[in-house]
Amino acid sequence: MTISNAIEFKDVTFTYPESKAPVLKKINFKVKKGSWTALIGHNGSGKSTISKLINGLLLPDKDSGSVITVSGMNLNSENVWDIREKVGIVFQNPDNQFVGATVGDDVAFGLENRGVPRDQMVQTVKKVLSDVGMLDYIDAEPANLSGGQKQRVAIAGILAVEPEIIILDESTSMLDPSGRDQILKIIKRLMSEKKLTILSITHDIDEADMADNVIVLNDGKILAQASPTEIFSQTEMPRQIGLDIPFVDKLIYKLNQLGITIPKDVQTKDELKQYLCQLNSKK
Amino acid sequence: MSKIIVGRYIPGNSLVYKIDPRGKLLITILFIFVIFLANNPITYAIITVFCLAAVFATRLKVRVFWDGVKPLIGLIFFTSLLQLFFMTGGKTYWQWWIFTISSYGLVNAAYTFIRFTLIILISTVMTVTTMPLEIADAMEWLLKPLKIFKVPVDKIALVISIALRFVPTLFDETLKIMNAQRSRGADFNDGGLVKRAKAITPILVPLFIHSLETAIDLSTAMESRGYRGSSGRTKYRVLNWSKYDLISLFYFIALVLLLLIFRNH
Repeated sequence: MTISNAIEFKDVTFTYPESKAPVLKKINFKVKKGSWTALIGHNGSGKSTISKLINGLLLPDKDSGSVITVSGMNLNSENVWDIREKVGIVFQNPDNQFVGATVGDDVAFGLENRGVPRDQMVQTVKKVLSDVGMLDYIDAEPANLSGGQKQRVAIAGILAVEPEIIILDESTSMLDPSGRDQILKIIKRLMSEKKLTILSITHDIDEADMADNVIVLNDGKILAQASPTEIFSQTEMPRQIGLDIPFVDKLIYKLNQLGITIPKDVQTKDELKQYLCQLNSKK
Repeated sequence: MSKIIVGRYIPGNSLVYKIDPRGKLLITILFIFVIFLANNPITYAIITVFCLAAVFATRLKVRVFWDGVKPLIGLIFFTSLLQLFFMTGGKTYWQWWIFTISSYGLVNAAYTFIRFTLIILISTVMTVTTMPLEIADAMEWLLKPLKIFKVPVDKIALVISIALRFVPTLFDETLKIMNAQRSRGADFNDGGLVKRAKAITPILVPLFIHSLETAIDLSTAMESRGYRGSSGRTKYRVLNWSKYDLISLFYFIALVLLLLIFRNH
C-alpha cells in the first residue's frame, strides 16, 4: 500500500488544560506527500497547536474521536517516538532551539539521541552543513551567528536525521527579509532534492504564496483549503478574517476597483507585467 | 553581537593549548596538593621555576596573568602579613605588643606568598588556555567513575554544556533589558545600597521570566529532535590524548620526583 498522505487529521479536537473552549474544533485536512502546504490564520487561530499535535508534543482530547495519521501511522502515546523520527520541526525563535555549544554539536544532537556511531555522525554533520551552506561555521558558537544562520543550522540538524516531513513553525517570522528569502530558497531546493513534505505555518503571505496548497484556519476551524491563487483571488475572504494577501493579488484588486478588469488567468507577477504592458500598447 | 568570551579563555596555539583538557584539569588539581610537598628554599625554587616555565609556555602576555592574580592580591598580602607578625620562633628581630617579626615568620610569610601566587598562576594557565566547553568535557570525564554510585553524569554534562551555551545569550538579554529600562528612566549606578538593590528588580524579574520561557522552548525543541533522556546516546565531541599529553605528564612527574628528592635536604 502506498501512502499518498503525509499527514491526515480526522475530526481532531484539542483543548488546552487551562482553557474551557477547545482551540481546535473537529479539524479535517490532508497534506499530500511531497507537497508544500502553508497553514495560515491570524494570531490565536490554533496554527502552532497543530504542529505540536503532529509530532505528539500535545495529544488531542480523549473521547473526541480524533485521529491523526502521520506517514501511515495513527499517532498514539506508544509510537510518538517513531513519529518524531519522521517529523522535523524548525521553530520560531532561532535562539531557543539551539542545543549544542557549537554548530557541529547542535547538528549532531539529533544523531546523538538516535545513538548513531561517531564516525558516521561526523560525515553526516559535514554533509548537511554543506547542504545549507554553513560548513565554514562548523566550530562557531551560537552567540556569533545571525538569526538566519541559526535557522539554517536548525534545518541542518533536522536534515541530519532524514525526516520525511519538515514543519516550519513560523520559522522565518523573526528573521529579516534577506534571511527569510535565504531560508525559503534552501527549503525549496531541499524539498525537491530529498522528496520532503513541507508544512509551513506562517503569517508571511509571500511564504504562503510559494506553497502548492494553502489551509486557512480561523478560530480553530478550517475555513478553506485550496491552491494559493484560489485563496488569494477571493479578496473578500482573507480580508474578513484579517489576513493580508500577496502584493500581486492586492494590485489586481486595486486595479479592478479602478475599473481595469484583469482576466482571471493573470496570476503571477510576470503575467501581470506582461498583461499591463500589452494593455498600454493597445491604447 | 557580544564580544564576551566565556570564562577568560584567550585563543592561541602554543604548546599548552594542544594538551588535552583532561590532562590539564588533572594536573592543575594535583598541583595544588603537590605544592605542599615543598618545605625548604630549594623545593620552593624548583616549584617556582616549573610553574613559571608553564606560564611562559603559553606564550601569552604577562598582563593576562597579572589580571589573574590582581583580584586576590589583597588576600595574599593579608595572609602573608598574618604569618609575618604572628609567627614566633627562631631569631626575634622586632617585637611590639602582640606583633613579632621573627626569622620563622619571615620565611613562612615568603612561603605563603609564593604558594598562593603559584596556585593562582597555574589555575590561570588552565582557564586561559582551555575553552569552557573543553573544561566541561574534562569534568565529565573526571566524574565518570561516579556512575558506580548512580550519579547521572551524562545528564550533568548536558546541563553544564547547555548552561555554558546560554551564558552569552543571557548576557546579551541582560544588556538589552538594562538598556530598555534605562530608556524608560531607570538608573542603575546611583544611590545607596538599598536604592541600587531595588534598581535590580526591573532587570531580574524579566530576565527570570525570559530564562524560564527559553527553557520551555528549548525542551520542546530537544524533545522534538528525539531527546528522551541520556541512555543510549552517543557522543559527537570526543577528546583525544596526544603526544603533548605525555610531555605534560613527564613534566609533572619530574616535578614531583625533584620535590621528593630535595624535600629533606
